Amino acid sequence: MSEPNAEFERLLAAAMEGLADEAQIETLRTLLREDRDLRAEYLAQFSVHALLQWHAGTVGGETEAPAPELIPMSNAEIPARPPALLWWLAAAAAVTVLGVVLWRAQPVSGPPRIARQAPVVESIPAPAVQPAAVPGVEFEVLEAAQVVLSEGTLDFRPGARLAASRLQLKAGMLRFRLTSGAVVAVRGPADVALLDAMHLRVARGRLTTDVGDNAKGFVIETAQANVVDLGTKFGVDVAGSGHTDVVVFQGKVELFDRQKVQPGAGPMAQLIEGEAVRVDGEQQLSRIANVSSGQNDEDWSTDGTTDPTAVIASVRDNLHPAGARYFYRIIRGGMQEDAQAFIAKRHEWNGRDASGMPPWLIGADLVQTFGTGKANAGLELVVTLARPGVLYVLIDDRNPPPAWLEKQFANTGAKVGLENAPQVESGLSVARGPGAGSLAPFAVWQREMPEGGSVTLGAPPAVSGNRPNWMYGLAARAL
Amino acid sequence: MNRPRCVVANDLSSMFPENKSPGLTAEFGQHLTGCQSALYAFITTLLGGVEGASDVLQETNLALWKKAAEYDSSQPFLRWAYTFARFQAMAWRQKQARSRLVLDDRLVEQIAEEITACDSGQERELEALHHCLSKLPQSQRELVAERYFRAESVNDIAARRERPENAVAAMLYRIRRVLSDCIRITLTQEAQG
Repeated sequence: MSEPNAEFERLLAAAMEGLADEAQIETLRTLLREDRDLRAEYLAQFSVHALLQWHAGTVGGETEAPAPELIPMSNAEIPARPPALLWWLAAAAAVTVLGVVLWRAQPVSGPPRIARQAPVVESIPAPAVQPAAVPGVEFEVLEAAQVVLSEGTLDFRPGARLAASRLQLKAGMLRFRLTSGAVVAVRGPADVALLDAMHLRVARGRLTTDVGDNAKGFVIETAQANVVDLGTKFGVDVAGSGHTDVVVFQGKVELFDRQKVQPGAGPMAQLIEGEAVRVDGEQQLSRIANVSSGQNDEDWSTDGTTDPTAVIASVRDNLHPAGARYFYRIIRGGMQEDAQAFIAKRHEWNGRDASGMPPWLIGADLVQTFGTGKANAGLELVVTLARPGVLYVLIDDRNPPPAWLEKQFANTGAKVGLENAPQVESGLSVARGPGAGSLAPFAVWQREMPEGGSVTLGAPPAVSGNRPNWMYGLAARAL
Repeated sequence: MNRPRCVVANDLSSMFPENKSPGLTAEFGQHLTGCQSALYAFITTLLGGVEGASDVLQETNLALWKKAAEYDSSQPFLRWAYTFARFQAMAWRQKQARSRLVLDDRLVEQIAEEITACDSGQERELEALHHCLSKLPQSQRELVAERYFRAESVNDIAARRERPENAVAAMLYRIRRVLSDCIRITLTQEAQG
């Protein structure tokens, strides 16, 4: 093939990025009609362009790995479009794999689904009621804070190697590593049986577990469900009132019905990062919309914050698709350089240059929201402040501000950067510190709420072209 | 074209009696999975951009799914699938403002014919692309990451780098040409063992 001419290269390069005007496109067409080699070059360019998009996982308008999608109830109940692309891949791939996959009959217009096989959870005898730290399952103490045992006392020095079949904490927090590599933080009051290095049974209490890569298949058993880890960081809160809350901070878990444990049974649900559910005594699942967090991983709550210094009490939306399980994470004092901006994404808030973000924003309560799609034009978000405060909305400054924002908020004139973090698959790491990485300008708008209370926010502005359609961020500080 | 690497005897239609589409075999599913990136590239090329490409791919998949029984397994699957993609791409184009389209109808037909005639079977192209990306200099990898992995527009990249937009577009063009040559050479070398 001959070397493409410079004019063609310039025109095609511009046309592929939407930079060419009508006259240039017409010139490009003329060149393409006349020269087969230029058509081959056109094919080569678009083929690589499409393969790069495919390889990057941005096909379909998503700019990143799939996050929980917000779809209004009215749309979710009556799908208007053919099944999603991933459905096709899953359906077709399932036919190709081994020939032993299980299919469930579906309507012709609906997707066939693969029935997953549950791990066999054997019946395990109840552990003996014993004082803590008698010979049993070995663990290494990593951190202990004001631990009060139900019976007796024990020295939980960091680094101490202990063994126990049961831990009963009246109060405090104990973080330890099992020999499987799983790191477990237990906050009292709690009653936890250590069955083996891969299996705990929780009668009561809040556990936060980071199983790392070596302890996939780690099981937490409660009266309502078995939570099977698939490589993740997750929390389980077992209440005395008879329900289990499961919150996934990273990776994913599967929930199995405790009453129907049998080989081959599928999970009740699979939860991914940013999802949380409550399992009641009837094994019914319900969404947990808010998870409040402190500065430490194990400081979280599904029952609203009990911290008297917290400013944001709750964030609720009007989007309730059947099966929705995403939550808004409220982090007390969480706004700082490199703060994670969205649930289930690596994007971060940063100052736009080395001087950092506005000092009055640092230390504010932060809400990790979701990236939303164009389907969420009807979004309404009700933010409630627990005390007098200033609510900040951080919104993409490259788009005109939406009417609801201009009506209720004032532009501070300050800006922060949203670091458009590369996908994990790219092998590139997220930049650290202010001014680093690819930073999109976000304007900071504010509203003083001297009485606290609630305010209703709308949808982020719709964006045309291939620019990501970012959700806005939220922060608040006390007045 | 490449044949499925593993043979599966399952007949999907037996598991979906209500589908009434006897062509939904395991082999069909394998073909459909294997040609997704090639179909997407084909559609993107005909549309002259990625806008609408995933929608057209979905419509194409749906049409292929419904017409599975008509597939003659002695014929190349991808070439058969291209005819559906071409039809769906033309339908999508008709809904767009003509001035925005890079190709006119005649060029679309011409290019579609030329792709179909030299169908290389692109199942290995993604692997070759992965290999070729790793050989790019760091500065070029960073630009690819910004444009594709972070899905940034050329306008935004140009503004941040303080370069003209057309200059950034030209840099990306040259990187794609390097990758295209590398993919072709890699696949040729693989074919020669």
